[in-house]
Amino acid sequence: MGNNVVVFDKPHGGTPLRLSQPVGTGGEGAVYVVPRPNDGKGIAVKVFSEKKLKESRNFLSEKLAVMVKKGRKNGGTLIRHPGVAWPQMLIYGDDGKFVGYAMRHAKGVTISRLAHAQLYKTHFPNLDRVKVAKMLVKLLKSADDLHRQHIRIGDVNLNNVLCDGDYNPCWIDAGSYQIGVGDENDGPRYPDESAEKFHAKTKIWRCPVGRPEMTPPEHLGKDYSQIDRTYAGDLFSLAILAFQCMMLGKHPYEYIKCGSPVENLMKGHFPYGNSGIPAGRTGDAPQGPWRPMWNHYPDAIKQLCTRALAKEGRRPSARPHLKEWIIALQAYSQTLNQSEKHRREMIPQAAKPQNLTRSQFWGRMRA
Amino acid sequence: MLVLDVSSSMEGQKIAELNEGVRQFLQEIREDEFALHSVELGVVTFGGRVTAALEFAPLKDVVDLQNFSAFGNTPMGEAVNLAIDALEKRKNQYKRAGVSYHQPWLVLMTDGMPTDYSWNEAAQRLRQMADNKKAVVIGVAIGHECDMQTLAEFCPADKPPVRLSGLKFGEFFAWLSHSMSLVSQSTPGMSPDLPSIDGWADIET
Ligand SMILES: Nc1ncnc2c1ncn2[C@@H]1O[C@H](COP(=O)(O)OP(=O)(O)O)[C@@H](O)[C@H]1O
Ligand SMILES: [Mg+2]
Repeated sequence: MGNNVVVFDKPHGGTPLRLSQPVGTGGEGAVYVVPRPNDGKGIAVKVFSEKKLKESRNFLSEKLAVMVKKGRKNGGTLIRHPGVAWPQMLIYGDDGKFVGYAMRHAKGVTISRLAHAQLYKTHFPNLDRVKVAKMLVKLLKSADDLHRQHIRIGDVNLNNVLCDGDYNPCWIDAGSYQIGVGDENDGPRYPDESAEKFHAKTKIWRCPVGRPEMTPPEHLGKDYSQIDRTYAGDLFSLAILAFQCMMLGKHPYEYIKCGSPVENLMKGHFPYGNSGIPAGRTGDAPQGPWRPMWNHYPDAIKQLCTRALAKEGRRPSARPHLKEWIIALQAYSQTLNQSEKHRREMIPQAAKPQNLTRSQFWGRMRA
Repeated sequence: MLVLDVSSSMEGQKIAELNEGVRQFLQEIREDEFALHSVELGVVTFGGRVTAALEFAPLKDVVDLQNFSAFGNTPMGEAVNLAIDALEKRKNQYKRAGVSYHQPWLVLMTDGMPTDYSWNEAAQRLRQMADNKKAVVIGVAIGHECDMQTLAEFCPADKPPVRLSGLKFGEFFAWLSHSMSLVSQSTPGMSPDLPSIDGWADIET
């Protein structure tokens, strides 16, 4: 789809929407902003590429139709959710065939520019630990709201979240989420994995895309279009995403002496130490600013990362729930706001204020 | 790292298109903010002698390159050795500093065959690097005089050299800058899916 293509909000006789420069492109297609037919407000229109449509036009049009319908339920909770660009209507080509969907025009840039050791200076110049924590709280609350509606995000990654200058994040690429019909009664949201079966009557539309380095170990190496995503799977991917945001883009499984990120992910080789333990102890955290950056996070947050990403996190039911993350991040941003003692900058220069351990104490007494 | 043939056989339109392609490459890749902050570039040319036309440097610090002119024979082995040495040196600096990095890319373009004696050794060295996943090696043959078999010895077995379709230097360098921006947005240690080479590759060979 090039410039100046016209698409429609109905298969036949709909209002023409003229597409000009895309505001973004990805592996699946391009996204344009156009005035909405009824009130002229800007909406974002995602038009899938010819290739994608050729492969899966029927799947996509069926899935997106279900999503649009689901979005209107409960007084439009999903469509109106400020933290999710939920599909609002289907979009058709001039031949009446499905080509994409429309959603809220989300402001800002992808958080791959926030979680980036250089680019945050351009796009989020006043970034600090309070802002990161608050942004993550909002983002994880939105993820929790999706889970409450029985949606699994699936392809969690830094390119699927936009964030504005006031640190309001918004989930995009909703068309890829896993969604079901008839799963409204599939029990508690975090049943233990063995019990996490879908309701017999459930029809699900899967999330066919993903990145290996964001994929939970239990799903790794499988064909994404053939697996049922789980809440616990999202918890793993969201923990990686949170870590990346807190660590200026560093991937938690990046290069521990040897091994690719995926090999390390598979083995649960998370090299960052817990609480007061020096990083080198449980693995080999990379040199440079990463260690002080990590060390200045409070134990509660370090432990959440460890529980999700170290060996124990390979057991899906052991991963911390979103509620725990939200509480810990909220507490952290409050502490930072209340006390000058803790560093707010992303890369603190000074050492972390610490309570001495017994042996350190006696060591100092002798010296 | 670009390793480019500027020997006398490149005279005329070939060298002109190569210069234009490299100029456009620099411009396009600088427009991508991810690439601008993570790509480092070096250029080695071979024609009569081997020249480090651009010492390895972060893209941010690279000023425009001078045009290459075609001259002399084809010391390709020596050029490849120089390029590998520069890559290794940079890698060691990264390792010492604990900085993670993407696999370096080495693009080798030629329209002929090496005229130096030691090319065999250099070819083996480069091929080994590629086989051990220490580098991505892209061999590009220009025109039909290029000896594909010799060029293939510099490339890994699973990624043989590709012949440029006509003089599509522009298309090649556009593909290269697009690939570089995808790489610079990916996690170090992971290799992203690359765009199709149909735009510049001669598929008949
Ligand atoms: N709702 C939206 N509002 C504004 N920009 C968007 C929106 N959705 C997508 N974009 C832009 O389009 C780009 C690609 O969108 P995405 O849906 O993630 O495509 P893909 O699935 O192909 O990666 C995003 O990076 C973003 O810049
Ligand atoms: Mg996307």
